[in-house]
Amino acid sequence: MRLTELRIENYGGYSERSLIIPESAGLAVIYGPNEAGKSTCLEAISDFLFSIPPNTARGSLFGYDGMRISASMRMADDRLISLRRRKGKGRTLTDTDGTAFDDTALAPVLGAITRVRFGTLFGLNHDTLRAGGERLLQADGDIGRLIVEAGGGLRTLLARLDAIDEEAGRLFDTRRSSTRAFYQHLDTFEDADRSVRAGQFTRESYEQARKHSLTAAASLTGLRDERLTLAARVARIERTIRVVPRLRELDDLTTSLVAFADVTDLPLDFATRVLAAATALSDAEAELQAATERRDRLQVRIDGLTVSSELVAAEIRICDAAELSIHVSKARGDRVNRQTEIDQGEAQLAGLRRMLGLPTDADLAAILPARDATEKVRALLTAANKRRPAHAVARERAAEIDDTIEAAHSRLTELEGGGFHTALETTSSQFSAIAAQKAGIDARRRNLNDESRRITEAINALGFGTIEELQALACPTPEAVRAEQAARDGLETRRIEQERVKRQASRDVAIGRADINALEASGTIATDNAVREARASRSLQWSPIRAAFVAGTASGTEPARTQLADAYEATLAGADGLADRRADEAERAASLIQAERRVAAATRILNAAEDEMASLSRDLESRVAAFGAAFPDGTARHPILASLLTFTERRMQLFEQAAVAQSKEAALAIDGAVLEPTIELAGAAERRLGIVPAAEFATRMQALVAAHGRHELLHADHRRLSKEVEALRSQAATVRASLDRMDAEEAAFKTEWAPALSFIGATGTLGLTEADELLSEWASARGVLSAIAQTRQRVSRMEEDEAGLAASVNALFSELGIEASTDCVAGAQLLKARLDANATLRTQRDGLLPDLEEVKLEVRQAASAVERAVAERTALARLAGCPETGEGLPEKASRHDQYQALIAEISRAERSLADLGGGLNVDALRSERGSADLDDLQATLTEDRSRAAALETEVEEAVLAEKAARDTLAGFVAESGVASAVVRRESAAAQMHQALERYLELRTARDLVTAAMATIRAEQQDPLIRRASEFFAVSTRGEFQGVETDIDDKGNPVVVGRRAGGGTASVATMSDGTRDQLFLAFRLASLENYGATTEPLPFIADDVLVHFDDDRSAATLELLAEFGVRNQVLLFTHHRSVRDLAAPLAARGLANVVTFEKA
Amino acid sequence: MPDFKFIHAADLHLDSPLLGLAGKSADFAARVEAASREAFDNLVELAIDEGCRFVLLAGDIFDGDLRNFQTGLYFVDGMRRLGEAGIDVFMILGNHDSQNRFADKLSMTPNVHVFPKTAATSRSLDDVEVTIHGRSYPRWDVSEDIARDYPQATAGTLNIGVLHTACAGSEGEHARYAPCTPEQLANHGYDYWALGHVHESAILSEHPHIVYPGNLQGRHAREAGPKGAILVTVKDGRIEVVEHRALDVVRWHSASFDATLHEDQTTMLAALRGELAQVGLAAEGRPVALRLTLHGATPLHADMTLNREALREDIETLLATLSGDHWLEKLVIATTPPPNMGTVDPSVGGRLALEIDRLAGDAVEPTLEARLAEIRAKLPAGAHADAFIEQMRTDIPARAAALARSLVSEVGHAAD
Repeated sequence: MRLTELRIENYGGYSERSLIIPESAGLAVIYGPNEAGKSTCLEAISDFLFSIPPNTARGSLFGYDGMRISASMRMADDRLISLRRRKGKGRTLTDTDGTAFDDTALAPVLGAITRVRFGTLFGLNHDTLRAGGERLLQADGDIGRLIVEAGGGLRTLLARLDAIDEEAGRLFDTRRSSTRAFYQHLDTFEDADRSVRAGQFTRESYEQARKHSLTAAASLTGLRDERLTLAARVARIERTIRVVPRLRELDDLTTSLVAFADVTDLPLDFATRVLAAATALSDAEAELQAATERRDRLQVRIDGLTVSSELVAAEIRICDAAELSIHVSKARGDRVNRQTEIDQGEAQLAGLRRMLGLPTDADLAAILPARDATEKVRALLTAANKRRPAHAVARERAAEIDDTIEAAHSRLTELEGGGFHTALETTSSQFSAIAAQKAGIDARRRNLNDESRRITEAINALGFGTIEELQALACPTPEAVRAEQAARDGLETRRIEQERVKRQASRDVAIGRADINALEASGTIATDNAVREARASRSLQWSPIRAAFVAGTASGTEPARTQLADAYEATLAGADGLADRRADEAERAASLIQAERRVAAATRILNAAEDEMASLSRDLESRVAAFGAAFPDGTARHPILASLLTFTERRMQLFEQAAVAQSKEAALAIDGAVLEPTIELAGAAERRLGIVPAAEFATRMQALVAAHGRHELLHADHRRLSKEVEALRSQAATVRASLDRMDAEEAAFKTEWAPALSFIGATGTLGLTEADELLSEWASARGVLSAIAQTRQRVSRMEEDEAGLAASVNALFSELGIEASTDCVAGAQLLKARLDANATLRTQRDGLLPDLEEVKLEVRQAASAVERAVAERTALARLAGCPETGEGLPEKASRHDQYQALIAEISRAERSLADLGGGLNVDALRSERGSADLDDLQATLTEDRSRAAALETEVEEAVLAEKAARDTLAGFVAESGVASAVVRRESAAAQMHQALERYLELRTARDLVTAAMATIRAEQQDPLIRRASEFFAVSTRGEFQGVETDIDDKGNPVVVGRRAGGGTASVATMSDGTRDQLFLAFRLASLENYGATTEPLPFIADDVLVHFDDDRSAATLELLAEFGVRNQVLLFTHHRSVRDLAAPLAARGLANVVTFEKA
Repeated sequence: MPDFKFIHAADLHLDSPLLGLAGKSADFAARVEAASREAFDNLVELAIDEGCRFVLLAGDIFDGDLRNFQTGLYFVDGMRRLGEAGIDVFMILGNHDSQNRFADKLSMTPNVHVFPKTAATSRSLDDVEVTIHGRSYPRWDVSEDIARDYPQATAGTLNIGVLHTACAGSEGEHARYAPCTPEQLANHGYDYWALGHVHESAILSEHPHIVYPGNLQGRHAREAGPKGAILVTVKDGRIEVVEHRALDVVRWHSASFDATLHEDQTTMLAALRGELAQVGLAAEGRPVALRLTLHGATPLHADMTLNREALREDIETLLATLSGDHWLEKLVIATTPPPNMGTVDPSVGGRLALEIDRLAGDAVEPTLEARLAEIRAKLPAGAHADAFIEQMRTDIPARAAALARSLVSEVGHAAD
C-alpha cells in the first residue's frame, strides 16, 4: 500500500490539514519546519490505520466529536482506496459515500500488523536508529540478534531471554544453592518435617506415660495414708500425756464428797428456800399491820358525806326543763326576724295579684293552678311561637315556585316551536375531519398521477412503451451482472498476477544468466561436468595414441604425431588443471549450479505463467460468449457490462416504483370508499337541519358542522329546562302539603287557648306575650307561697314550747317544795343549779368507796401471806429433820451450800479433762491411758514425730513425681505444635511447586524461542544478508562492497563488512554512522521480505539523517529511493539540508519533495 | 414412635493437612492448621445444639498415613463431649482408618459404638425405635460388595445402614472399594443409607434415602464448595427432612473469569473485584482459598503472560481489599490472544510465533522430561512429587508456548 493523501479535521491543533503525496516516486521527502504539523501527521497515520485511541490528547482543542482522518491508499494491485476515520467505538470507518465499516475493512492492508508492531517495524527516527546501531555493537554483529532486533523490530527480545535465564537461575538448578528459591523452601520443608516427626507420638508411648502416671498417683496415695495414721497416733499420745494430772485431781475431789452424806439428799435449792421462807414471814407480818390502820381511816371519812335522793330522782326532768329554757330564751329573740320574712314574701306576690285583678290580701295559695295546667298553656304557647314564622315563609315560597314554573314554560314552548326538543341522529364530530380527509385523498391522487407519469416517461426514456414491454425483455438481474463482472475481474486479476509472476520469473532468469555469465567470465569453472568433459576429451585424445603405441604402428608423419601428442598433453593438462582447481573453485562451482538451477526454475515458472495466461484469456472469452448467449436482448442493447449494469439497475428501480405506485392506487381506492358513506350521511344531516348545501365541499361541511353545533346546544337547553320544571313541580307539592298542615295546627290552637288560660286564672283574650309573663309569675309565686307557710308554722311552734316550760317548772317546784319567782326560764335555771350541787357531793362519796374496798382486800392478803410463810418454814423444817418452829434450819442450809460447791469443782475438773482430751469422755481417756507409763509414752512420741518429719519429705517428692507424670500425660493431649509444623511443611511444598512451575515455564519457553530463532535464522540468513549487503553497498557509496557472514571467537555466526579495497571489518571496528547504516540495511531488507509476501506498508522515517554528514545523508537518501521502488518511504524532516539533498533525486524522478508549511 | 434428629457425617480425615497453600502470615497458618479440628468441633456443637439422639460416622475418621496419636485423643475428647450431652455415636472404620496405626485401638467413651470388622451387625435404640446396621473395613482394600451381607431390616423400626463404599455412579476419582449400586441399596429394605468414602455431598435417592454427606473440610482445590454433614429429622418414624449443613472452616473455591471484553487491565481488575466479592458472600465469612482461572480472547493476554507474577500480586492486593480473608491458591492464565482473522503475519515476530506453535508439540517433550527427572530427584518425600510432576507434564507445554509467543509478540517492545 502507498499512501497518496492524508487529511485531518479537528485533530491536534488543526481544524483542517492535508498532505498530498505524489505517486510518481516511492520516496517522499516531507519537509516542514517545526510546528508545521509533522508529528501530528505521523500520529494521524497510525490513528487512521489502527483507530483513534479513547484517551488521545489530539482532541483537547476541538473536542472528539468532529475529529476525522481521511486517507487515500494505492494498493499493490493498483486499486485506490479512500476511507475516513472518526473517533469512537464500533464502525468508525466510512468510505466516500459515507457507508460505515468496521476495522476489518483495513485487514487487506494491514494483515496481522498491529499498531505496536507497525510502530516498531515500519517506523524509525534518529534516536531509534542510533540505539539500533549501538545494539549491533553490543551484539558484535550476531546474526540471530540482527534478524530479530533489526529485522523483526523485537528490540528487547534477547534482553528478555537473558532476564528469563537469570530468573530461572534464581529459582532452581540441580546445583544446590541457598540463593535459589527452591532450596530455600526445601530447607523450610525439611525443618518443618523434622518438627512434625519430633512432635508426633504413638499410642504405645501414650499408654506408657499413662501407666507411669497411675503408678505415681498410687505411690502418693500410700504415703499420704501412712502420714495420716502416724499423725493420729501422735495426737493420741500427746492427749494422754496432757490429761493424766487432771485425772488425778478429779479422783481427790470425789473422795471429799463422803463428809457431806447428811445433806446429799436435800434439794439443790434448799439453802435458798430456807432464807426466802424466813424473809417472807417477817415481811407479811409488817404488811398486815399497816393495812388494818389504813382501812379504819377511810371508813370515818365516807361517813361524813350526805346526798339528796329527791333531786337525784327528778334529775331527768330538771335537765329537760333547763335545755327547753335555753330554746325558749333564743325564740323570744328570733320572733321579730320571722315576721320580717313573712312580710317580704307577701310583697313579692303583689304583682301577681295585680295581674289577676285580686285584692292585696287575697289568698293566692287557694287558687294556685296545678302543674298540668301551666304545662298545657306553656306547650300551646311554644308551638304557636315556633309555627307562625314558618307558616309565613311557606306561603312566600309557594308563590315564588309558581312564578318560576310559569317562566320556564314559556321558554320551553319557544324551543319546541324551533324543533329543538328532538336530538339529531348524527354528531358534528362525524363531519369535522371529513373535509380534510377528502382534501388529503385528492392530493394523493394528484401525486400518484404525477408519479405514474414520471414512471412512464422513464420507461419511454429506456426505449420501451410500457412497463409490460420492459418486463418482457430477456435481461439479467443487476446481481447477475455484478457477479459476471466480479467473475471477469477475478479472471483478469489472476491474469495480471500471472503477468507479475512472469515478469518476476523473467527477472530471475535474467539475474541467473547474468550470474552465470559473471561466474564464467574468468574461464571455465571447475564444475563436475567440466572436469568430466575434460577427462572425456583427454580419453578421446589418448585412445588413438594408445592404440598406435600398443600396436607399434604410429601412423602419419612426425609433425602430425607430435601435433597429436601436443594435443593430448594439452587436454591432459586441461583435465588435470580442472581437477586441481575443482577443490579451490567448489564455492564458485556451487554458485554456478545454483544459478543454473534458479534459471531453470524461473524458466519453468515463466512457461507456466504464459500457459496460465493463455488459459485465463480463453476462459474470459468463453465467459463473455456464454453471457451474451444467455441474455441476447440485454447484451445487444448494452454490450458493455457497466452500461448493462446501469440499465438493469434502472429497470429494477422502475419495477419497484411501478409496484409502489400500484399499491398506492389500491390504498387510495380503499380510502375513498371508506369516506363515501360519511359524505352521504352529511347530505342527510343537511336535509334534517334544513341547510342549502354550498358549492364548495369544505364550506358546505363547515356550515353543516356549525348548524349541527347550534342544534346540539339548544337541544341541551331544552333538556335542562324540562328537567328543572319537573324538579320545581315536585318542590311546589311539598310546600303546599306543609302549608296545609300548619293551617290545621293554627285552627286547633285557637280552640284550645281560652280554656287553657282559664286554668291559670286568666281570661281568653290574653295575648301570647302576656300569657308568657303570667306563667312566669305563677312559677315564682309557687316558691314564695311555700316559704311564707313554713315561717308561720315555726312561730306557732315557739309559743307552744314556752307554755310547756312554765307548766313543767311549776310542777317541779311544788314537788321539791321550793318557793321561788314565776318566770319559767329563771325557775328552770334555779332547779339546774340545785341539781349540780347535789351531784358534786355524790361524786365525792362514790370516789372513796373503791379505795375502802381495796384496803379491805390488802388486809385479807397480808393475813394469807403470814399463813403461807409459816407453812413453808414448817415444811423445810420437816425436810431437814428440825423442829417445826424452825430451830437449826440456818445451819443445815450452810452445810448444803458447801456440798454444792464441791460438786461444782468436780464438774469443772471434768470439763477441763474434756477440753484436753479432744472431746473424749473420762472413761475413754482412762481407757486410752490404760496402764501406760508416762515415760514410755514420751519415748514413743519422740519416735513417731521423727518418722512424721521424714514422711513429709517423702510425700513432697511423691507429689512432684505424680505431678510430673500427670504433666507428661497432659502434654500428649495439649497442642504440641505438630499442626503448625504441618502447615509450614505444606506451605513450603506449595512454594517449592510454585518455584519449580515457574522455572519449568521459563526454561521451556526459553528453549522454544531459541529453537524458533535458530529456524528463522537458517531460513532467512542468506536472502536477508544478500539483500542487506546490496543496501549497505549503496548506502556506503562503495566504501563497503557489502556484508558477509563469519564465525566469531565463540563460534557464533556474525556479520562483517566487506571493504571495497579488500578485507573485512567487524561491526566493532565500523564507525557509528556505518553501523547505523548497517542496521538500516537489515531493517529495509527485512521489510522488503515482508512486502514480498503480503501487502507492503509505507516505511515512515522521522528525521533519521540528522546525525549523518551530507555525503552519508545523500547516500542514505539514495538507499531509501531504491527501497522506495518496491515499498513506499515517507521521510519526514524539518532540516532544509535534507530537503536540498533530495532535490537531485527528485530531478531524476526517484523522489518527491513535499513541502509542508506552517498552518 | 417419638420424633428425633440425627447427624450423618463421614470422611473427617482429622488433622489431614490443607494442600497447595503457600503461607503468607502467622494468622494464615493459625487458620489453616486448626481447620480440620475446628470443623470437627463444629460437628460436635451442631449435634449438641440440635439435640440429636445420635451421630453416624461412615468411616475415614483419620488419614491412613497419620501417626500422631494426639489426633486420636482429640477425637476421643469430642466423643466424650457428645456422651456428656447424651448423644450416642455409631461409627465404622473405612479404608483410611484400616491403614491407620491407632484408629481401631482407641479407648472410646461408652456412648460410642464401633461396628466390628468381622461381619455386619445391628444395634437397636429402643427409645426411638431405630435399628442401625454397619460394618468396619477388615482391611484397607476391600474390593468385594459387603453391602450385600448387611442384615435384614428389622420390622417396626427405622433401619439405617452405615457403609463406606464407592457406590456406582458416584465414585469419581475415589478408589472402588466395597462397590455396590444405588438400586441394590434401595432394594435392601432400609430407610436410610449413611454412606462415606466419596468426598462430594450427594443424595442418590429419597425414600429410601441414600446419602453421601461429603467430607467435613475441603483439603485442596479439587474439594471446593461448602463441606459439612447431613442433619436428618425423623417424624412419625419417617425421614422428614434431610439437610446439608456447612461446617467447614476454610472454604475452597474455583472461580473462572472471562477477560474477553477487557482491553485494559485496570478495568478488568475492577470487574474481577466485583465477581470475587460474591465469593466472600457465598463463603459466609469463612476464609477462602481461591483458584482463579482467567480465560477468553483478550488483547491483555500477552502482557498478562509476560508479567504473571505482577498480575498475581495485583490480584492478591485486590483480594486484600475485599472483606474477609481470601488467599489466592493458584492463578491460572488460560486466556488467548485475540483472533487475527486468519491472516498470516509474515514479519519476523509472526514467523517466530508460527515456529513456536510448531515446536510446542512433541519437540518440547524430551527436554521437559529430562528437567522433570532432575526435579523429581530433588523433591523430598512428602512433597507430593508425583502429582506435581504429572501436573507439570500436562500444563507446562501450553504455558511455555504461551509465554514464548508473548515474548516474540510486539507487546512491551519499544519502537526502533
